[in-house]
Amino acid sequence: MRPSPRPGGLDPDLDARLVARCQAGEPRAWEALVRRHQRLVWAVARAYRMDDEDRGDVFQEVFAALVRALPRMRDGRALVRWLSVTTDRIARTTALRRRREQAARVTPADGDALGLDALAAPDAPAGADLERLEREAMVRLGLAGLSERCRRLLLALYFEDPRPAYGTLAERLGVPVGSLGPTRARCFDRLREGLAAFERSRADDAAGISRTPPPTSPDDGASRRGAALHRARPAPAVRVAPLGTDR
Amino acid sequence: MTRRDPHLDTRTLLDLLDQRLDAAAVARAESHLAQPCVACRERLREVGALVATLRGDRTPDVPEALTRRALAAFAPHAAQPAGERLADAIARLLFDSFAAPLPAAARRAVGEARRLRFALGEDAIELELERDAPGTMAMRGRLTAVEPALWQLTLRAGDEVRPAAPDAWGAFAFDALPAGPCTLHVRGPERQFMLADLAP
Repeated sequence: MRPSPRPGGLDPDLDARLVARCQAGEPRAWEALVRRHQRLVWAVARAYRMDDEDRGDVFQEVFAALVRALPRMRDGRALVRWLSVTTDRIARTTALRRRREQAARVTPADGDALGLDALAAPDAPAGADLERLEREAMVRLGLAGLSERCRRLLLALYFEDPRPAYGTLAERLGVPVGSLGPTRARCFDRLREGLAAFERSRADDAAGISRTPPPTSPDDGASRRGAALHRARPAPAVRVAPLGTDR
Repeated sequence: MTRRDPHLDTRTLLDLLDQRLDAAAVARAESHLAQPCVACRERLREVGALVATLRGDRTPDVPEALTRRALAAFAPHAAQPAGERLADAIARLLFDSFAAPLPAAARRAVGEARRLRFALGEDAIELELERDAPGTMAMRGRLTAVEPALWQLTLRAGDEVRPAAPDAWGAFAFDALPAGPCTLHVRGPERQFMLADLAP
């Protein structure tokens, strides 16, 4: 059987289609959207110093914010950036609130036992390297779009710890040991090419080579505010609910 | 690197990064990179960056309980289950290997499985039904749709009801089914289909 011609993994327009279906009230599109991007949200939340309960609250709050933003979201292709920036903002706020609460409980007698120096450190909370986390999330999406054989091979080679020996891996996959090297290279190339195409698409968006009309609505303020958080990176054409005002 | 193509291929670059090349191959690769070959250096940088990303990603899986909380956030929009809004549509049989037996050579290649292909509106589904161990059968298939992730499958075989979701390529499988006619419900974003009396 021939594979589906458009695997969902790194299809640059899939987010836009899913967002449109969510806007139409399609619960399965929402589930696909959540399962597609939850790892990115979780990774950004985990970059902050907080306990799992707080991380879980951040995670839930981000998706609740997305539900509220959906009706005004016009370009689903900017969803990845919207999610990472929104998670970063909510996680930062939560971590700072916890830090203030902790500092308020410290008494002079406690002193450094409670880590006053750390609480006062100007760079705390450390924050997330959104660029790297977005790329990791894209790689995971790319892996999900590969054939099962490629996916299993690359997951075993790069995510298992300890890394399995080639002999063990060949036995597990039911292929000759000698085929693993060429297969790995082919799978790797497919992943690399898919990511390159996706990056080109995002770069086109950032450069304004967009298939959607230029921003003209009051929502455009979100684009400017979102971009201001990460000036070093190309500003995507985010046309969604204003960050910080949708809660 | 081959006689015809002097450049370093992905396999060589991956082996170089993994220190799986012998000393002579390493020397050849380094010599080529040192020429300098700008294209291979750039490719090595690209491959190395992707390997570093793969190895650097140590984010654990999202706890399923959190996923459920995120899914529940959409509940107000899901007041009316999609299945209730969808009317059964007719799946059109395009091919049945029973009705159009394959040539012997092709049959030897694909086995004795019954192969079916249905049109589901603008999409399509291919099925392979095969007797398995005594009293059981297997069904494998592939959904050819733009967004397989939005489709859901439910198979009723005997007393069993099994749900499945196609992978990113649309592939799905049901193994160890009780032998006998079964019914496959295929639910897409806009329509649902019922394929009845499926048997190997």
